[in-house]
Amino acid sequence: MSAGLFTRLAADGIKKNKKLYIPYIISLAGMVAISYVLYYLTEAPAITRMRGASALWMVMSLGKVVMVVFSCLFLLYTNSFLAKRRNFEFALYNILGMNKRNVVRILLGETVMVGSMGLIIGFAAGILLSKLFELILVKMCNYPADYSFYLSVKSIIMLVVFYVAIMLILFIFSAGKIIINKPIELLRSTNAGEKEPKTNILFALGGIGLLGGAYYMAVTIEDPLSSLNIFFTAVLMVIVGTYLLFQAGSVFICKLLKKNKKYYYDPRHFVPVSGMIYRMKRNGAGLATICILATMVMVMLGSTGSLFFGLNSSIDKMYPYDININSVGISNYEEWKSLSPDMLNKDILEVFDYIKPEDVHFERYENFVALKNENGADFMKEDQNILPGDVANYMMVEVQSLADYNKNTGSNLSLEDDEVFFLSATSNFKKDVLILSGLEYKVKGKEEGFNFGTDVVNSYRIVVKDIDKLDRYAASENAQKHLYATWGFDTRKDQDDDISRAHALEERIHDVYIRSKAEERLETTDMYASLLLLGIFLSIVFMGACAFIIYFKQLTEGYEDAGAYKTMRSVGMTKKEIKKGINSQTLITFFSPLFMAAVHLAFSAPLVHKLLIILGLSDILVFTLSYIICFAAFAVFYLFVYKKTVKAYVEIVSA
Amino acid sequence: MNILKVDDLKKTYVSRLGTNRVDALKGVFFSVEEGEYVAIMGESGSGKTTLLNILAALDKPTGGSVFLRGKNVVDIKESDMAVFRRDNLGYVFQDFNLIDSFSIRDNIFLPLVLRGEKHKEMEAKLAPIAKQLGISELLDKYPYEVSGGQKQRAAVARALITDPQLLLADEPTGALDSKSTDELLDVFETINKTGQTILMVTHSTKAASHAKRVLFIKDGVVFHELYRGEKNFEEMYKAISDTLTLLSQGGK
Repeated sequence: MSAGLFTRLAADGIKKNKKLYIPYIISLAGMVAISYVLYYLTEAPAITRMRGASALWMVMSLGKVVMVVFSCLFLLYTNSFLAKRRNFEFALYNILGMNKRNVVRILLGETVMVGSMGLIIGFAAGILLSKLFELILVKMCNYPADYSFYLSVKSIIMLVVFYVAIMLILFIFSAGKIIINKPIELLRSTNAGEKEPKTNILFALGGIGLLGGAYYMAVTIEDPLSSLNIFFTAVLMVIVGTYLLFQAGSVFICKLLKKNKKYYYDPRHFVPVSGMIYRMKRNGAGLATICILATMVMVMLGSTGSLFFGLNSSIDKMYPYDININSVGISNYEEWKSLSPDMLNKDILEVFDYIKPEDVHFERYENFVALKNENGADFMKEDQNILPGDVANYMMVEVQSLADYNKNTGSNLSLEDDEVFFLSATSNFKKDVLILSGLEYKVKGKEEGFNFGTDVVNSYRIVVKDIDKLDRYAASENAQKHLYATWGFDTRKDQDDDISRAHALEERIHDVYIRSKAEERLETTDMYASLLLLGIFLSIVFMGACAFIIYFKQLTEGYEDAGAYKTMRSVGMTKKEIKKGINSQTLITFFSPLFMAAVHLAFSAPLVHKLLIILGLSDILVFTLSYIICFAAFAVFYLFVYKKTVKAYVEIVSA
Repeated sequence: MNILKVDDLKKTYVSRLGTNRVDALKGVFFSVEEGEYVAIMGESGSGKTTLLNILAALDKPTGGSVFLRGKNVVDIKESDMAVFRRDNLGYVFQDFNLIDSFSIRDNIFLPLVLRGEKHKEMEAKLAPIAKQLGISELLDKYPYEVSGGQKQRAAVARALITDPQLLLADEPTGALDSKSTDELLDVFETINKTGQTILMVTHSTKAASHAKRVLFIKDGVVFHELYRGEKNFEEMYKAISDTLTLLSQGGK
């Protein structure tokens, strides 16, 4: 037989079954397109140049992992459904006189056609979408638009290899089935029932274990820096755990329900429970994917949203005054000690002609990098590097002289040589004696909740009478230290005035770092807006993917279940009872991913909050609110999709 | 006393634009006595499946009435039909129509569960029926694990477990091999002896020869009927064959 015939038969097969093949090709193309966009955004030069690109990169990399896992499982699932239908035709060809080699050639033709259509459409859509994404992102962040055409060839090759490999594996599966089975068995396999899935206790326990572990890690995390370390691990654990749980755990639960005779043989539960045992096993992957996509959408929107909306409080914290001046690179202790509070006043008062000398606040402190221990802290030495195990104890000890403290706060504190006044910030100390690398101080007094610097690193401040002595001791210990001096004042003017005067001041004073809060706010707004925008874009993509999976699930299940529902009707099930059964079944199967996603979200909150602290957000209220709003919005979207697709399902099964 | 009375039953199918009218049933009259075993025969397209679907309340006639124990089935509201069916009728299909996701036991329980019966009562009802049909050992298997004949016996058990007034069977032997066919026909005869009224649609002469009475449908009307009387299977078989030959030659 000629090769043309096989091609024609393959093309005919696709055309005849287009109700099944079109969603299949669209889903393949959709996955290729989304994967390409994700790969592209991690690589495109226009994006990597942007501020906040590292946060973006993190989100995208995670997205890539999810897409890869998801593509495999989803294609496997849809293909098994497709193959069942196609086997009938193949068996018929076989019976009508084609040998198995010819049938396999037709199958190969189909796979090649479907695969290449999916890949070509997918890449076309992906390339267009990625450029569109990039343009909008760049535009929103006020970068010059870059209309040059960048094609991520590396990504294309990687994705082509990946998807061709998946298609090849699927082809080998299907071909193997045709070769091994007798044609008559294939004929029947279209109608053959599924075997009842076995409960895999190991999988169920593994899923619960992984999730529990990840939750524990996320909840017990204390300092933001280690959160970066565990973030990827925790996310991977959650992804794998969710898949295991949906695959095995749900079957396990349904079987328990089935064992309870009184519960099971109730008209309200009978059909749904037995249906779910099959559903969950085959759709575990689909449900787990919905759950993970939902979690990603909510985390993404929640975190980017809270960054954006929590912006003001973050800026206020990082920039205490309208105009902030920091010393740069003072390494000599004597030079630092001799800095005078009013040394910049001449320039400041000339540029900001409405400011009085007493409005300018001066602060000076010495900062030691240290490792926390239960009696205090040990200075890190100059040649010492931080070890991974010490990340959680990493901290800053800020030291201020009593004279500076009294002057700045207007207080009248007095201390002995061996006494400190303790100011807690992101870190606290409860004992009465504080030992710094062997140097002992009595804690004379305390002020809680002192608010300075950043939340990223654990820190507290101590006030000592004789800072020279401490500095000499630290120097003898070869401690890592930084010397800081800051000037700041509030202007209460509009932002343009602040920005232009700050720039004018910059022209006059060179060895300091001058920032106006107004300009900083503008720039941060820019960056966070771009992050939020990206979050919204990706959410739309993922939500679209979610909706598509749900629709595809309902459609395929509808065709599968139509026969069973017809039987139930003829045995005497009323339409109302059928609807009720469908409702409770889909309600449970559909809302289990949303429920799991809510649990994931709740447990991820402490970890994500810590990560956001690194980016400058500390307002827990804004964070919680954005999380809740995102969940509510997603739930509404989900409900909408559910309503729409259940209708499609009911129409199919009651036709 | 007759359990079923079919009176001037008509069914006309009209194509969507109303240009084509097909009269599937043109006025069917017959009745079935309690405890009878009736087979309805006819060629494809003679209207026998339409008739059975109307009797099973799966379809509505264009005219006429069907009385089951004096109650007109035709008047039953659409929404009450399913409940009426599960309370009064048992239905055996040509292709078994067992649900793949249920074990044989749960398939048989389905109508009882729909009625909201207690699990213990269900088990009590199942035991004797399963024994009679020889499927006691198969109850925990799934439909794909048993043979066609076993599936059909499970389907019969599902039809009988509600203790129906009337057992309707649509080509019950159509998908079975000859051994399973014999077994199933034996089962039908046995349950008929215990008093179960059976109405079976078939075009298998062999299946019909087991019935006590055979109705022949042609062109939408009951054309002829045959009583077994004192005839044995062979005689009955021959009588049916002769009638069919006569029918196919178009004699009126």
